[in-house]
Amino acid sequence: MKNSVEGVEMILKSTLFLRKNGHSLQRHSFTFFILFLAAVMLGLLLILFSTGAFSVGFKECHLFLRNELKHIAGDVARDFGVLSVEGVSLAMRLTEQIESRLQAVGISPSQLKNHPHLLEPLLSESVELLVTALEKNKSSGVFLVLDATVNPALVTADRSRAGLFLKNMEPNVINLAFPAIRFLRGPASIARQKRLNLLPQWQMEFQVEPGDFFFTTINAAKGSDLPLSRLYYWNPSSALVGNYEKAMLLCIPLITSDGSIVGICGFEVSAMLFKLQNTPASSTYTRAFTMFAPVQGDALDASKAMYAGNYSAIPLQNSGPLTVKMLGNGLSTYSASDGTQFLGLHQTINIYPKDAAFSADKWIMAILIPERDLKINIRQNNRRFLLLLVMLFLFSVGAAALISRRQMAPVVGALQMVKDGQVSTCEKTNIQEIDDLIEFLAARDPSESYSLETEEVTKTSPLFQNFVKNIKTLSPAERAVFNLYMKGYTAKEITEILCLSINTIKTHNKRIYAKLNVSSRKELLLYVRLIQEQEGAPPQD
Amino acid sequence: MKKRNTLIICGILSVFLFFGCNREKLDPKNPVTITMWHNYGGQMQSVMDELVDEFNSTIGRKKGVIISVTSISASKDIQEKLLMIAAGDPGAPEMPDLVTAYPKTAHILWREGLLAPLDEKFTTKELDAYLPQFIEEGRLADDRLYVFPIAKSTEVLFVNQTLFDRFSAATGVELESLATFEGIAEAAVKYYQWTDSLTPHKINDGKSFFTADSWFNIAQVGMAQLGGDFIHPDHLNITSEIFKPIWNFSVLPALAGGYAVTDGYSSDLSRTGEIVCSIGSTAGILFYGDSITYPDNTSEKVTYTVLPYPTFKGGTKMALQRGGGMCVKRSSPKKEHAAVLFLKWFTQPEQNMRFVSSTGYLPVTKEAFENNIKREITTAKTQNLKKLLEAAAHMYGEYTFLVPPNYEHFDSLSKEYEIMVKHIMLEGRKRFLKEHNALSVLSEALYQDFVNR
Repeated sequence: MKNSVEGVEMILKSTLFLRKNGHSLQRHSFTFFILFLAAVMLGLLLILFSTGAFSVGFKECHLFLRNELKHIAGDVARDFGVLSVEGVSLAMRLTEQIESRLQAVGISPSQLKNHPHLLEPLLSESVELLVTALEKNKSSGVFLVLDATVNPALVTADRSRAGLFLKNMEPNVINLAFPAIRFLRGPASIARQKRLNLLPQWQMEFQVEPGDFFFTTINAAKGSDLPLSRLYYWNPSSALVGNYEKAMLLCIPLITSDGSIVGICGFEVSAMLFKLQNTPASSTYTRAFTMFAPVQGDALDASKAMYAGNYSAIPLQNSGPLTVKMLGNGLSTYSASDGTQFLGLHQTINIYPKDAAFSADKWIMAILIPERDLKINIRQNNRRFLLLLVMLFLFSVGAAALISRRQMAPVVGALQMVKDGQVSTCEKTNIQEIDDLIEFLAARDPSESYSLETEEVTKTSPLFQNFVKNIKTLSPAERAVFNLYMKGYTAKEITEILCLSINTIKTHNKRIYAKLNVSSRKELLLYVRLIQEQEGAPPQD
Repeated sequence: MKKRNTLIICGILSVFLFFGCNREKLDPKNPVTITMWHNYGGQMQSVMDELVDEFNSTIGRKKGVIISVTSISASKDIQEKLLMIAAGDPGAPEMPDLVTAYPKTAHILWREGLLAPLDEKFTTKELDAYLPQFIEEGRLADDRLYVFPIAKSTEVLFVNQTLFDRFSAATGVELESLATFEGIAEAAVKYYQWTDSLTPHKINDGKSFFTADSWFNIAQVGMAQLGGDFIHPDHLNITSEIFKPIWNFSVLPALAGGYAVTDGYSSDLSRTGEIVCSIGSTAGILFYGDSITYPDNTSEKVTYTVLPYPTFKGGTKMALQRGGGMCVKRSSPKKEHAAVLFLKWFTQPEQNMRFVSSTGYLPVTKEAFENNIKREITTAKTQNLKKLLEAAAHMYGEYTFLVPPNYEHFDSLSKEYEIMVKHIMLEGRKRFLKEHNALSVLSEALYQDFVNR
């Protein structure tokens, strides 16, 4: 028996502690945890990849662009549509007023050019209609350009046109009591008469040139049998001669009942107004901007577009066409001639009816983000994700090391005591197998054989007497187990004899200990030996 | 165990501090948008836009601040909107984080608790870099700074040199005579008579020589030049003997037809050749242009001369300090900090001079004023700007500047005076043409009416 205990100890020493031929229990446990963790992490990564977690930045961006485009494009289509309708209505009223005035003085509309003295009264009378239209609509300006000049004798007369341009400096503020209306074009005398201040860019007449908003509108209306609602024209973003701010102009011809075109009128949508109404809202993509551009072949004409964003798109405004290329992921790239690239979404906005004179002019509304910004955002998102995963992994490794150490500590401690030959003093580890092993070793340990001479307990002591007395309190099942202990059988042998599981035997043991008032197997065996000695039986080895 | 607990507490506190303080600190990844209204429109807009863009793409991007200009309109329009906001009018817009305003408007906003005090957002050293009188002007009733100077102006005399030369050649009136108010008054009467004489077949069709953007300012500064005080908290000192020269300057030539009376800016009349000279803000220089457009659509290229603010005979050289400043809306510490960051950047000499050299405003830091302005005079973009900077630099060397008081009734008193004086000038002229009284007699009668109204 002694040999067997020594053998076990040898094995323990060589395999569990010294790691001469393998790894420690802790390491085995740690390795197990790490392998488990690696499997879990791998699974997690696979799930993240398959669910597209690493492209969440791109998806968010796509969603943001889609929502903004839907919202802004809807607003622009509605606002431009309303202005178009209101513009046509204004043109009809102005035409009627002009025609009636000319009729009163007996001049046919086609002869207006030859009567410059009539221009100022005509313009003065129109102020009221223009101011009302301006106050009523979401527009930064309203204008009337007559196809005539106050001084036909001037060398520049062919490019000078009399008219009025009134600007609403605060088109986005509801303040009907004091509308901030200023005078941009028109005779200064009318401005004074109507108590309107001149703007620094004031000029008396409009400077027009072939191909501009004035001639394009007039030329399209000439000889056309389309109704007025099909003849309006949205002039792309540009600044009037002598002006600084860019704007889009809605131009409607003034066609009198005899078919003469006496001029044009319309509304202005300034770059500032467009910006205030259509800037995309995003705290992530702060450089996102709206672009409302005319289509030029397969590209967008950036120089004639309207922009809205917190950052100015000035470099783009001065660039040429913007080439559009659809990507497979639902977005498009927009490349400027200088190599600047944007990502975004776009959709067509119909600002003309299908059968209108300018229905061939296509306009695109796009929400764009500098490509670099999207890349940086996705990279930052993923970096944060990976950082979190790495932190989770490191934390798990630390936890695995700690748990392995804590779990194995009692085992290693107990084994160390066995190694040190202190089996009898080993404390319970609460690990069933280890406690059994220690018990087993203790039972076979020669040092566990007690001699009566060395013990305090004697056959006459009250403790022993109580022990004997308490034997009667054992149940039949416990008594059967106790008797087998008396005969020197080990717990394992008892399981076989009684056909019980080790756990049942353990339960019986606990009850036997409790009833006989002993705390350990060692103490039990001591009393058993005393009983046997009393009965004259030789002690079992 | 104790150590471990301390570590845990420190860890929790760090997390709280990180998330808690983060909301109040600027973060480039989550930039804060600062809305701004300003009155630098027209030609000034391009340089303002340029500077705002530069801020947004450099320091703003680095620190997490975006300046978004949401309104550009005239000072009086902005003032009107701010008053609507202060009064809580229905339909009033939301107050922007940064707005240009005069102290008198700022006073109303301050009273409603809408402005953030700025003193503690600057170090003493930083504030010392600005001209002290500009900082002082921005302090309101509680002596704290609310109106931060970004560009200032004063008043000068703009003279259409082309028109004046013709007048001078015909009448011998010298440009130097316009250095005094009395000289201007005399020239105005002569100009009307001379232009009237050019069309002998038409009587009383002479032209006006002069106008002012604010007759109230002339009275305010004129009284100060002559050693008096025009404004009291609840009334104007119009009965003082010192006021008489001001009345005579303002009304007598007007009765004779030498002055134009308008509700608009003097530059509007100047652009149509209806006056020869006017007193207005240096910041109005861009409104004058370089040509006159006549009613028949013909135009003429003209040059302007900018003269220092005139003085009354026997008075000291004084002029008005004009130009508002930027007010910061009371909001979150983060937004206020972001707004101040822009103000600090915008008023650094380099940025400030870029703005000033294109607009007619004056710089606000000592460094920009003392060193850079001389350089800017030589590199000014237009001749008008060059002349303006020369006149302003001369005035800052020789003049004392008057800062209008922030009395509660200041605005209504000034408005009332302006309306009354213009009305008297117009009606008096009509009476003169009708009754043909002696100018001095009529003027005295009108004065008595004015005082006893």
